[in-house]
Amino acid sequence: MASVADLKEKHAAATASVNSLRERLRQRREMLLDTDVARYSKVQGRAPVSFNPTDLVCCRTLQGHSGKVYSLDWTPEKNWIVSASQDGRLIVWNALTSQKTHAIKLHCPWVMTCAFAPNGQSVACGGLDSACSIFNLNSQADRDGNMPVSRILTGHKGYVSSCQYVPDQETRLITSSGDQTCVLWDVTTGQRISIFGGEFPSGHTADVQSVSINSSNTNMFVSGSCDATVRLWDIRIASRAVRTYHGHEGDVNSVKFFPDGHRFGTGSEDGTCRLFDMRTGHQLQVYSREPDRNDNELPAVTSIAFSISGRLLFAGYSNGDCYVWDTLLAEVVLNLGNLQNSHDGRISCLGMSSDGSALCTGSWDKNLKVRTFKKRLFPFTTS
Amino acid sequence: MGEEVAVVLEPPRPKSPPRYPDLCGRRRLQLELQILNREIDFLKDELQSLEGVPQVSRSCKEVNEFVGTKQDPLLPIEKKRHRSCRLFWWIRSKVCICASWICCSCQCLPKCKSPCCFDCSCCSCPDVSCCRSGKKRCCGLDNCSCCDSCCKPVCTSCSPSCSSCCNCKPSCCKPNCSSCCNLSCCKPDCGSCCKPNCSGFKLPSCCKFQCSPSCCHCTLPSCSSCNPCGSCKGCCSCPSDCKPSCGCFSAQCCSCRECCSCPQCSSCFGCFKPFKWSSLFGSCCSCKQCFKCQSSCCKGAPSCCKCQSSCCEGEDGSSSCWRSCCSIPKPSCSGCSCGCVWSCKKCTEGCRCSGCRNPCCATGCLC
Repeated sequence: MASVADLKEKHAAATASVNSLRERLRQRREMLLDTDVARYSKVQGRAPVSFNPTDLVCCRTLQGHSGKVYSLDWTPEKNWIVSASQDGRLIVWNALTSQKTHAIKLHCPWVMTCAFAPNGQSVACGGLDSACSIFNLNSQADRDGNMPVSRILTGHKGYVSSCQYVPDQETRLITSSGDQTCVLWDVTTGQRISIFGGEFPSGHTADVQSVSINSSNTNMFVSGSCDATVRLWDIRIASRAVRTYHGHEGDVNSVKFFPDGHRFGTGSEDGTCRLFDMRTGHQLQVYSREPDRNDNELPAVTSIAFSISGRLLFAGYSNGDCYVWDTLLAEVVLNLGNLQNSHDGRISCLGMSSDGSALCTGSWDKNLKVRTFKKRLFPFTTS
Repeated sequence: MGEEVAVVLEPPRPKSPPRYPDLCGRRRLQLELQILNREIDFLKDELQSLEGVPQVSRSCKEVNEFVGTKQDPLLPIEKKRHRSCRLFWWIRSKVCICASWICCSCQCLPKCKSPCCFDCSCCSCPDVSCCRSGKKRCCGLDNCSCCDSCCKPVCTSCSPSCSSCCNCKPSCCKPNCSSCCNLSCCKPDCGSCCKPNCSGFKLPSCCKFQCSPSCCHCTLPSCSSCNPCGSCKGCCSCPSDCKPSCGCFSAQCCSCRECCSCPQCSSCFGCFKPFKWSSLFGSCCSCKQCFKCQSSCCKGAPSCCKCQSSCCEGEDGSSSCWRSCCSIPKPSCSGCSCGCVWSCKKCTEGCRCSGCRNPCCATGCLC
């Protein structure tokens, strides 16, 4: 058996190898970095996007939560939204009429994430209870008026930070957790199908904050973590990440696939959003705001969403701003946080409707707001 | 799918092995060596996979091509073409004659399909202002840009002689980048590149020594802005004995000394550092608090972090808590009735009355 001294020597040599390989990787990638999306687009003569301050009008304000809104999700087909709040409730809204269709009191009030099932019949939520609860919206309430839980997915050893149903599959759900793993669940049996990352580290080395499933290829998903990396996973291969994406310098709070399914965006504690190429691993663009006059730290990015064409990137920040980035030219075209009828607090979550016609923002001011382009208010013109 | 009866069961609490292996001695080293060797294999695979990977410009091209293929309801509506331009455009496309003065006379931009421009080959130039400013429209292989001289390629990379580039100022070409301002021409070489101030960084000294493209002065950062534990690369004064297993990623988290003792904390929402979401839910626990778990009170709940006495009040010492221990710090409930007692079985959410400090029922049940 090797002595401790031998092991220490091998450890030092292995550490040096890892550092050297990382440096070679970095240099190799830098050689391939001949341009970025903004420079390329400018050379192509792309015209900038031009918004008037009144273009993205707030057509609905959804009021009803008594605590900060932490998470929201749209249904894939109907215009319904589910939101999760510090008040310990999930509320399901009809975004067209602003009516609440369901108000679900949660067993554990410390909820952090929620998601709609693809058929719109169930919602999932998770938080500090380290579990993911499933509610069937067609269930009858009990005597106390509470909706019963139809399934609890237990197994995580840390808080559940994010959850998403696999598109077009009512029975598959992916969660991310403070225990540094992501899990694919079978909702009908409550069993874990696969665990991504974990005890023998091939995955994240810190809390995982966000997941996004590729709607073009539902076998692939990405996860963002406090270890400042994003990892790509194939749900058929849980033993190791397909690829790791470096670049951010702080916790990655939000990840979202680009509409073409070959790229994804990220938002981070370092104040930047980035666009990565899934297949090559290249960092294509950094969306970085200017520091303020007082040279304070950049506010963190809390949540991101892409418009349906990919031309716009919406990013919510910890200081209440919500920038609309021109994805191609890497310029801010609008700040929803400065508009009339904007939120009074931090925007904690963003979501795009499935048809791309509306953006919903959730905030610490306890409200949700739905914005559309004013000249295309249908179907939101009916109120 | 079949619906379950709504019975909320206690989650199973299997006895799990210690979260961290033995942190001292041979076993720790062996495990870390195993992890490093695996990482070496992954990195070699990744390095190999980069062979043959196209440059970033190819992905940028794909992104540009994709954007615009789908109608976007949130984008401003483009201006409609004037009728006269539409007719003109149709005629032009049929006649297929193109002269630069005709191209510039219209709001819209006619696209000439056959090579016949005045003194350039035809192309589809989207930028009308190029015409109006009087500059000729130069046609590259598949794009146009506004240039003083016609028909020169676009500078996608810095060529030795910028006179062959369309939009590259001669001073920007390598090797002399001292007056560089067109970033597309200059390679990011910290020593000789004139770049704007470090956007995105608080201080120039925060730039990593690898010199990110937006950095002007690349020096090693001070550790106040980098992770003191774990990845100390690039930091100038990080202690060398920082243990990556601490998982600390915030400068405010802990010093390396404290990180080494973090694993002794029993699991408290996975916190080995000030809980990331503590600003949302109140502070979870610090490692110090984790030691205060009263085992008799928290029977059956080994993960109980700080067992509130309200969990067990009203019970005598011989009986186990009939209610599972509160592993979540309970808020004070300013609005609760101090008359309603915790022991009421209808009470599902206990807390402490901020006034009298008695255990209260947050849901205000009446017994």
